[in-house]
Amino acid sequence: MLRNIPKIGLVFFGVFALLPFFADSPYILGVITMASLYAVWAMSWDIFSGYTGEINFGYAFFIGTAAFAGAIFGTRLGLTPWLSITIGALTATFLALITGILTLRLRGPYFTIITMSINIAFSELALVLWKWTGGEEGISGIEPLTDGPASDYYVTLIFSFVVFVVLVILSRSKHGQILIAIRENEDAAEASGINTIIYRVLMFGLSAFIAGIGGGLHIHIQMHASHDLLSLSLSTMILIMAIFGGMGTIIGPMFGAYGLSILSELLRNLAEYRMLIYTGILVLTIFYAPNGIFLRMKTLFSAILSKRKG
Amino acid sequence: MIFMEILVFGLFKGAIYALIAVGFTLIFGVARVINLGHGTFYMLGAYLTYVFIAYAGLNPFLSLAISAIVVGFVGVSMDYILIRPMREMGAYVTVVTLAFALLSQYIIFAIFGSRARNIPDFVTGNVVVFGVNVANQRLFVLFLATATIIAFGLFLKNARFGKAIRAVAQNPDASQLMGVEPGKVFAITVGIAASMAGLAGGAISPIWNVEPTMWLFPLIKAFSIVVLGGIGSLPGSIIGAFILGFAETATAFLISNYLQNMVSLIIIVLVLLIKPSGLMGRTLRH
Repeated sequence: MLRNIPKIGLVFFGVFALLPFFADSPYILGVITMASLYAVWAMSWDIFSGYTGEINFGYAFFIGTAAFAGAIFGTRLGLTPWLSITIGALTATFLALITGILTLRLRGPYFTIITMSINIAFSELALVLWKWTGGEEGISGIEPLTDGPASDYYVTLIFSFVVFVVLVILSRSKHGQILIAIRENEDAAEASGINTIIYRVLMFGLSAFIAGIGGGLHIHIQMHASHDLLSLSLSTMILIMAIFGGMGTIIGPMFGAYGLSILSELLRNLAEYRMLIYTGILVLTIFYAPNGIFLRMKTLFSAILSKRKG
Repeated sequence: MIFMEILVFGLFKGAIYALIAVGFTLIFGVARVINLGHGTFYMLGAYLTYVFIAYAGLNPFLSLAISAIVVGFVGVSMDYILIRPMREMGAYVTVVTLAFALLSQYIIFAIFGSRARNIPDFVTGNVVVFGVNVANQRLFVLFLATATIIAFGLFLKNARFGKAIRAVAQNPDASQLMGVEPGKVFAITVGIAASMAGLAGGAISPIWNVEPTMWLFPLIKAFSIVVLGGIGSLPGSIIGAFILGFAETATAFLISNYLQNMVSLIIIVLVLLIKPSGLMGRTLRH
């Protein structure tokens, strides 16, 4: 089971684990911390959308509701971060299951539009309920997660690594195969005795839960719950990172997220054009590397290597 | 009195929505694509009209006409460049149309910024209809939308190409055997649908907000209308459009202005839960 984990992923995490010894500016650590969260979100997006083929276009719904639930409970009841993160994640999961009653029946563009609609609806709702959520401003004064950028960095890196390992193993297990079977031909899967509904529900819930933990971590690291955590832009960015990296691979979205996050920082000066560049990348990816850059790079490297041995 | 206002304003809203929804249904019925970029055609119609009026100093009606035609060509190009290559790959068609929509939003934002643009009324003045004070611009929009939809209906029924469209919608393979090129029909259909949406966008631009995110809600509403009316049904889309128009207007007057946009979302949820094929639709095989 453990040999299923792509070695390149392990190497990658190993490198990043050592990073703070070479570059310990809070700025760099902050960038990678955020990138780790994006990676978590991209991977947990992928375990559902990549493997069932249903594009969830409102992922920020899970992240934002977990973030705000955690923030509201945490600040009003004075809970520790770990407790409020857990409450947040459970709230997101609960909402996922409730909305899933409707959304999981739908396929294709219907699923896409309804997940998008629910995302928008809750984003607006949070503004309407500004007394609780702080409206556009969000909620401030949230307890910090740990006592410094370095420990925040390691918490998120380790979390990202754990999510990576768990989801890779899950995706390459029998359960992953079943999801792929459902994606490729649901009727055949049903006929084979697979309970497709349970699988969809469980994966959707898992996807929400992990996203929720990510959301909780985010607000405690930033010490602020931003309304952007419910935004369609966030949903879009995560989707782009996952598709760019390669849907349905787990490792693809992981690399996609780290890659695009770092790229985004490098292009910091072009901040207004950021979404434009991201969307452009999405379009290019769809046309020139529809299975994502990770697999593209892999095929390129194997082609080069086999020519050498040749 | 309020009732009359809801009736009159609801009618105008319904007409604009019908113009957008008919195109959306058309693309689905014929090209079998749920084009998430449809709202973008509406947006481009508005911005192009603005550009022609504000920068080229053209007469508003001329600007509107030219914009609609240009948007039509954008639609055709979009079909050739983005949709056609993706037709094989199911989920990607949706993503690519959405990517088109997002890309357009960010390009428009980069060019024009987020500030809403102001377009002067094409026809000034007001008139009193059934005791309600109505801007002439709205009347213009109503007549334009009605005329366009009727003209299009006649085109579909009687014109040679209209019949070709209907044939491809019924059975692309059989149409091909009859000498019709489905690919060409798809592209032109998207073009016509885009034109109608662009026309709607341009015509209503003096009244509604013109800013880079203006494509999103019309798209969701078009989707809601199509779900309500029954996907693939043109009459259903028209009926659904007016139902939504009245429902939103009633909500705005009776409950709250802010909740208007929620109506379409609620409709999507209710219809999909109760009767997914909508009022008049054929069932969708997935």
